Amino acid sequence: MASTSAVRSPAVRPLRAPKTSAAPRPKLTVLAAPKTSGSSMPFTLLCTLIVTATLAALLYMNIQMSDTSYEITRLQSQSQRLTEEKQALAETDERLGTPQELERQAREHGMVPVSEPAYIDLDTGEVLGQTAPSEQTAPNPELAQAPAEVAVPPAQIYDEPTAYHGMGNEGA
Amino acid sequence: MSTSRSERAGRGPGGQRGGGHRIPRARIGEPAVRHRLLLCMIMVAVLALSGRLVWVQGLDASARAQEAIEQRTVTRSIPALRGDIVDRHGTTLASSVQRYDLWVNQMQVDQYLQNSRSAEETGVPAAAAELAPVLGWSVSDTEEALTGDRGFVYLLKNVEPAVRDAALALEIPGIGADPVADRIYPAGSVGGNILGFVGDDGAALAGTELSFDDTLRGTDGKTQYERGAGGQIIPTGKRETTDAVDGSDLVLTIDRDLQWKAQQIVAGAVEDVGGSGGSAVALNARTGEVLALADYPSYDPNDFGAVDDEDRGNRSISKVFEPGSTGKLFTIAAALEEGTAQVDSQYEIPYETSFDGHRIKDARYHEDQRLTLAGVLSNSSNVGTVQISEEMEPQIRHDYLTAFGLGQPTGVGLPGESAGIVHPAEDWTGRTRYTTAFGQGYSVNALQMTSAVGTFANQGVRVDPRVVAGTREDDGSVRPLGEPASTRVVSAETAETVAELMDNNIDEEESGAAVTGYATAGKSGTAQVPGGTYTASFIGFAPADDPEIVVGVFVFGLNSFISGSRAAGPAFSELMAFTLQNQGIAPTGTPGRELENEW
Repeated sequence: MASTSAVRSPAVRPLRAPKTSAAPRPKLTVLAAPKTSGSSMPFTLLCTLIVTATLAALLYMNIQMSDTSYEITRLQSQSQRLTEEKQALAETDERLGTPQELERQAREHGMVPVSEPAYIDLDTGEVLGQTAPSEQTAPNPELAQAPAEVAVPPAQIYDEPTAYHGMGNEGA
Repeated sequence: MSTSRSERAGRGPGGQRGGGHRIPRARIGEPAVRHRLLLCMIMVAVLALSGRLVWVQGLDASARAQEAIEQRTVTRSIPALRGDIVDRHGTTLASSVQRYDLWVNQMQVDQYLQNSRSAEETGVPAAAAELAPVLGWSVSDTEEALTGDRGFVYLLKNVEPAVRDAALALEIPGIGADPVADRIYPAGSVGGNILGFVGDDGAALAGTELSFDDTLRGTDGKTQYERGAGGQIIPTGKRETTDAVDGSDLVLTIDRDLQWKAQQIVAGAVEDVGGSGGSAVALNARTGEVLALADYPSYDPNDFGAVDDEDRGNRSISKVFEPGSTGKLFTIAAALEEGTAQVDSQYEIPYETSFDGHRIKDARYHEDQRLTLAGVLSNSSNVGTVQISEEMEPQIRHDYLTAFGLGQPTGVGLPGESAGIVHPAEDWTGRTRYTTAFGQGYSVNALQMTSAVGTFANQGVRVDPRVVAGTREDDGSVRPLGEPASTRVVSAETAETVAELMDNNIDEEESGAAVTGYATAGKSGTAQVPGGTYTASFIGFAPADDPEIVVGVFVFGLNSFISGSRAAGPAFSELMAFTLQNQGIAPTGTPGRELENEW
């Protein structure tokens, strides 16, 4: 069985050197003030700055993102409007280009269909066939001239609401 | 204590028996039990609440969050744009456009201008007055449409974006618009029969719209995003987009201007002779491309509901009829190919004669004639043609008719085609054996017949006709859907000879079918229909010495016999002349050929 009682040595007081007046005074020199740990202010400021900057950046980015989001929505509706405008113009173009419309306009200008065309052979400069001026071109008497409105009427898209006077009723 | 309790218990019933109204002595409560009970109840309640809390906050949190996300997430379908249909030059014949359906919630219209101090009129009458000019309606009609207690009524369907904008700009409460896709056909009835149409729900119902629906339709896409209160997309939210795949554009072989002219010409021809309807076909002889496929009456696919069902198809491929004299070409081609006859073979033709007891006669009375093969075709003699055909077995003639594509669908790419009927040769009993020589006893459709005659214009090779050239790629080039099948039916020499005979057939001076400046080959035909009416036709090609264009004109439902060259010849001439011009084919300068018709 191990003994638990420790053998204590008697406490020894450190010996104090005897005061001797004869001992020489230690030599004192001027020293620069030791550096203190300094103020914690800059660090705090830095941290605050970082936090503020982060917050500001985050806020800015968020604002930017929602700004952009609104911008996208605005541009999308603008794109939609322009698409519709383009479509409306294309429709007008198509309507004016239909054979029915072209024929009507050509006739209004006094044009008639050519019945006997002549051709120029570009290699020889020779003219093939004989053509006649418009007033001498008679319609084929053997073929009834079915009124164009009966045979091939214009498309039933553009003139549908007959009582339509424009959006401000300006055509009324 | 216990003693006194038992005492009371013993006495109790006795006392009641005695009839006394004694209140039972109150029992002394047991606070410990109650306390425990209460504690238990609180424990249970706390347990239940915290259980729920853990459930909601811990276990079920994602589901709750999901619910919230779902509330602000919207899914929008991105409709695929239906492909356009364009003609051979890229001119739009059918296109899809954005339209709007205007609707009204009648219960809200009352609030219009309710808060305005300056307005003289408010509510429905004021709204009607503002809205009427936008809709193009009268004010009273508009007022009627706005009045009522229905939450949703369509005001006007398929309005243009400009009209929708104008209607919504009035800020009438309860008025709204839904976007819809509409199909428009800018040229109206020009090519309407070929294009077909789509129903209000966007389903293809006829024509190439139907037969090439898979190509045109495309696949719808969808987009999912989280939406803010203002309708804007929440940038940090989840977004998922499946792009729509738009349909391909379909390129037809049709030339729109030519189609328009063909429709006018066939309408004129039908009206001129009082027929019930007509067809005109113009083909490129070499490629089988259909340049025009006109029917009369036709319809405007923008307004297909306005015509009867029977006029909504393609008469040129759905109506079958006996070709009549144009069928003689096949008998003569077979005889030339088989070597049983030559151009100058000689025949003695009486007006009327009997073959095995069946009387065959010519269309018009004449004295006995001595005609060459060329003369038989030129005079369109039934008797002569039967004489020529009798030198061949019916089976051989039958096989030629089949080789010319008769009795089989052309596969032109349009729905509703009737193949016509060519009975097997063993069923050619009695008169049929003879009538099949001159185009009766079998039936064809107009396109089939024109394509069959086109064989002679393409050196004896029959090319299957087609109306669709292919699909349009992004760079504008056309991706063909496959080469059309071609079949050699007769030799190039035979085809050339038949072309000469057909050229000889048109007398430049007198025939209404002649085309000025061009040597033209053609043949007329008239056949009686069992109902008592007649079908007149004229099929031919030009230039006769170097054929490029085949044209067939057919007039149905004539009440009396009118020859094919009279009823359809002038229309043929007009259409052929226009087609040659339209396709830029110059005259070859070779005059038409004259052969010896008599001997």
